[in-house]
Amino acid sequence: MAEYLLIESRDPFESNDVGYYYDLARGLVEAGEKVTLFLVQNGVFAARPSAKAPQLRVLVGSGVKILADDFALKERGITKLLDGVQIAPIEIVVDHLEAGHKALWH
Amino acid sequence: MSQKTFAIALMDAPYESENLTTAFRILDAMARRGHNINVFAFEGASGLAFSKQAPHPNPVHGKNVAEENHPTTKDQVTALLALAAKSGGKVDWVNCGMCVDERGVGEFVADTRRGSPADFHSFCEASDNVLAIPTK
Amino acid sequence: MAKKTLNLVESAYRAVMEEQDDTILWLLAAMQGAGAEHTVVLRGNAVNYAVAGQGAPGLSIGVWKQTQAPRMDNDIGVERVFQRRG
Repeated sequence: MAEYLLIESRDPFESNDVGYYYDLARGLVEAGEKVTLFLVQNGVFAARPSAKAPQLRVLVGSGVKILADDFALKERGITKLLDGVQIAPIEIVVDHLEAGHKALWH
Repeated sequence: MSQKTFAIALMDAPYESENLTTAFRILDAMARRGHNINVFAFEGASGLAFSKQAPHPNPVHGKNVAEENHPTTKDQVTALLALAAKSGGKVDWVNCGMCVDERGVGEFVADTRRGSPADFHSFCEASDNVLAIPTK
Repeated sequence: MAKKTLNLVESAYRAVMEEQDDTILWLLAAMQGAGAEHTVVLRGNAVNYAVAGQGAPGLSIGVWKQTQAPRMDNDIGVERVFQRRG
């Protein structure tokens, strides 16, 4: 089993391509891999409970671990997150790289 | 955690993308842990270490140069190199030569160097892990 | 009489940490200082600039520290935005 860190910097409101990336995360989990999706920059907009982001909501509980960058959340004044999304510091990127996980940036 | 070597590819030009803010935060975290970092600055990122960047005042905010304390990426690169050295790691910061030439940004801060895609290939071969941050 | 412009701002948080500003809002404010008359409509992700209380601490890399991190809600004057809407 391989482990992946998928970093998503874009939000689904400005880019149709974000859905593809969420689908990639789910597909990897369904193929038996371990996946962390780390939302950074405007990618955290999808993690607001009030956001209309059905493709992210579908990922919750699918086996993908979903994290949101604490800095990006503070920068945008986002204080509440969708259930199932956790806040994380940027250091987790280094944790994953140290562990040899494959890291992709979108 | 034992010392690792990471390769990072950057493409975004300074002052144009939030990707660089996040990239520098990741680089800072790597350097604090004492890792070796090989940076390949490609395309617009070849200007990140350009030594002639200069801060400016902010008349809209009513701040002079000192008060505005405007960040320059060249200072961030210099700080990164110093942090890595202090933490026991090494940074090899390579600015892609042709990218530098077409942009006219051939003067870099100390301890960064001109290179080519062959350097990025060497970095990937020599590193424990690679993170490429593409531009949009 | 100065020409009036309507500016639709939708791109958000693009290099605001590095520039310590949204460069378009900054440009409009600077032109206003020179006598221009601008109206701004925030749309898309830029509506988030109106969220009061936002702002991350400045960046730091080693001993280098950012001391003037941007506050986008302050820059657009949150109260004025909501008053116009109301």
